[in-house]
Order: sequence, then C-alpha cells, then structure tokens
Amino acid sequence: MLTNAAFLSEFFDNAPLVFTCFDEKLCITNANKAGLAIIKAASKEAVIGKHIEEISPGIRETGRLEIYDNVLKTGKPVHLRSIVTVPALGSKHMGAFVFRIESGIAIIALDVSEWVEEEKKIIRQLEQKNKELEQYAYVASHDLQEPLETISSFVGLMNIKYQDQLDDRGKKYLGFIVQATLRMKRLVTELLEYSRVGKKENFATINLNELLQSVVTDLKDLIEKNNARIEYSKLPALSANETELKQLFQNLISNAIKFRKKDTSPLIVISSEKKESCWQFELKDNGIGIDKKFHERIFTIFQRLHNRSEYEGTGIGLALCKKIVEIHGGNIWVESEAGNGSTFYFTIKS
Amino acid sequence: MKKKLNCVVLIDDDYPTNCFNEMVIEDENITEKIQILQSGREALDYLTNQGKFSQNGLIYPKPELIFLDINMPAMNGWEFIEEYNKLPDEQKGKIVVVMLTASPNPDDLKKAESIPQVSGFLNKPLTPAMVHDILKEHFADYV
Repeated sequence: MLTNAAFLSEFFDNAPLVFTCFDEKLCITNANKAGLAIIKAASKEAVIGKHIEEISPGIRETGRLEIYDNVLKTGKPVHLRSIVTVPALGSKHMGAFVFRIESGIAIIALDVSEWVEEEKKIIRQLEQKNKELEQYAYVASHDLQEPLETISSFVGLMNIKYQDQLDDRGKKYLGFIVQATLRMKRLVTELLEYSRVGKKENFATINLNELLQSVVTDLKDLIEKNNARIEYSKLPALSANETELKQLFQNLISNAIKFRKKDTSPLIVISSEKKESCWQFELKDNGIGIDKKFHERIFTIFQRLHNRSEYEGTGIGLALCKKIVEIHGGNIWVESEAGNGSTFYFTIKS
Repeated sequence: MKKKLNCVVLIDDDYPTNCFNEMVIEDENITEKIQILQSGREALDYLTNQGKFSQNGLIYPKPELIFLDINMPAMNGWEFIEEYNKLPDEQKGKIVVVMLTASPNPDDLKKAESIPQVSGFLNKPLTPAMVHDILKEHFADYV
C-alpha cells in the first residue's frame, strides 16, 4: 500500500491528462508525463523554472497569458478551449481548467480534437440540411407560381367574357375559383418572401427614423383609410438588413391597423430602449388585443386566429417577423389581453 | 319510405368548402336541415344554444351527423373535440366525422383513429359515395 503522497504522485504522473503547475511569475514548477510530452521536454528537470513564454512561444498572442494572470489575481477558476500548436503533435484542440493553488496556478488539459472534429461534422450536416430545406421551400413556391398564373389569367378571362352565359350556380362556382386563386397567389408570394429572408446578409447602418418614415409613406393609403395615427420618438441607428427591417415594421404596423377596434381610430406608439447587448423595440396599439393562450401560437407559420371572412390573411406575417428578428440575433414576443390592445416587443442585437 | 336525418352540421372555416359540401349533401336529399358553422367556437355555441343561438331555447339541435374540419383558426378540430367531449349527452350530436385534407398528415390519421368520439375520417373533397357509406354504416334505417 502506497502512502498518500506516493499515491498522489503516481496518479499525477500517469494520468493521461496534461497536468502543469506555475508559480506567481508563471514559471513552471511541475508537470506530469503528458504535460512534458506536450511541451516536448525530455525531463522535468529540463524545464522546471522556465517561464511559460519560453515553453509555449506565442502564447501571449493567444490571449491565454492574460487569462492565467486573471486566475492568479482573482482566484476564480476558468474553463477554456483553445487551439494549441504542439511541435510534436501538430495543431490540437485542448479543453482546459485553470485554477488557483497556493503557489500559483494549476492547469489540467485534455486533448478534445476528436470531439471538435465530430462537432464540426454535425454542424456541417445541419447547415447542409438547412440549406436544402430553404432551397426546397424556395423552389416549391417559385414553381407553383407558373401554373397558378395560368389558372389565374384564364379564370379572369372566363369571369369577364363568359359570366353572362352561366346560371347562378355557375357564377357562384366561378366566384369561388377566382377567390381561391387570389388567395393561393398571395400564399405563394408570401411563402417565397418567407423563404428568401436571411438569404442575403447585407447588413448596413440604418437610420430607423428614416426607415419608419418610408414605411409610413408606403402604408399611406391604409393609414388614411383607417384614420390611424403612428407616433414615434427618436429611434436609434443600428446595423441591420434594411429590406428585412422595413418588412418587419411594415408587418407589425399593418397588423396593428388590421386588428383595430371598430369604433376606435388606431393609435400605434413605437419606442425603443437600449439594453445591455441589444436594442429593444416596443409597438403598442389600441386594437382588439390577443387572448393569452395565443401569445406563442401567433408566431407559428400558417397559424391564424380569425376566419378569413373576418380578417384576410395567410398566417405568414408574424412568422416572417419572427424569422427576421431571429436573423438579427433577437427575440419577438407580445403582451396583450383580449379587448385591450397589444404591445409587440422585439430586440435587435447591437 | 325510410326517414331522413333531422340535421347535419358542417364545421369548416373555409366558406367555399362549406358550400361545396352543402351542395353534395343537398343533392343526396338525406336530411331536413344542413347547418353551416364557420368555427369551432360557433359550433359549440350552436350545439349548446349559446351566443347568437341563444334564442333557440332549451331544445338542443343534437345533429345526427357532424362533419368537422381540422385545420381551423383559433380553435382547431382537435381542440373542438376536446371541448365537445365535455358537453352533457343531451347537447352532443350522434356521429362525428373528421374531414382531412387530400394528402393527410399520417399523424392526423393516427390521432383521428385514437379518439373514440371520432366515428370516422374522410379525405376531402366530400363525394356522394362517401355520404352513402356513412349512412349505411351508422344510419341503416334512414333514407
């Protein structure tokens, strides 16, 4: 039976993990076999006392020196993952714990190169699958447009040229076809828009006051028809995709007008607030509100809360908003209760 | 001569679909009345004489046959069935048939099979042959 100290020493030396210790000046005080191998030292005696920069040239550039210093100062352990170039072994991904000991710091490191490779493979597969899915939605909606155009133009012709020759039932049938064709056109267009979002990552600095002004101009007819008022104070400039952000505001504003109360003119108040790592926006309306049980469902594609006879729509609008916000590293949610207006919040990473 | 059904209910948010189904059933001349309802909520109100049907008093419509769409806004078909199951027997109809879209999601099929209150499911669009099959299976002494 080994003594405690001898047991620990044997454990330390033979563990297939890199164990190294440094004093407060970051000179090496101890290393096990795996540790010596990684710094390509012949023996413990050959390296003891050497400064860390002498053992691992270029370590300063990796930022690790600063981290070690911090552990020395604060005593707070850190977990880090870094690429270490070892002459003997090539480039390795190491996962390491660095922690304070009485005489300085200790580092326990493990070669995680295989795990990293595995991870990379999974990410590549995911990216590939995502791309395929996006492409699929895009092609499907694009290719649907052509036969749909044919149906739409000939149904339109029939409606104009042959209506007189149909009896009442025939007219009714034709009416249904015309309506359904229009609906499908809208669905396909919006589905295309949805699948296009995020395809181009051209971010630029955008002045939101200008952007909102142009949204208001685009929605002029809708705003005037509903006698709606849109108020916003000074909004920030931020880095985003202009087209997508415009679409986001346009969807949220036109929704607020669409779901207005019959006897109250729509009032939409837009404001922003700087948070730690993002801008948070708020769109408050005085419309019909949304029951709490639907607060999550409304952001799912094709989910609608009303009959088309009450409110037109495809159920894509808010799903599109969610996709846009997520591409900008943010979140979107709603606070509302039925009958009492809604406040939509979203964040954009700053 | 065999008797006709009293009432068939069509629940679908899509107006043209309701009209189409109404025409098919009308042409088969199997029922005194066809009631079109455009949402699950409206259908529950109809069955329980509430909301805009409150003037119907205490005699519940108790339709013999309900055709139910699944994909509807706010309250979908499955959610309707959940609420429907809570109704007392004197407010329930007799047979509920779930209508599925032309290429049904296998999960929907499984779900329809697993709910005892669902007597059957059909793929849209409704045809005269489907109507007769339902009558044969569930209403042998009618029409």
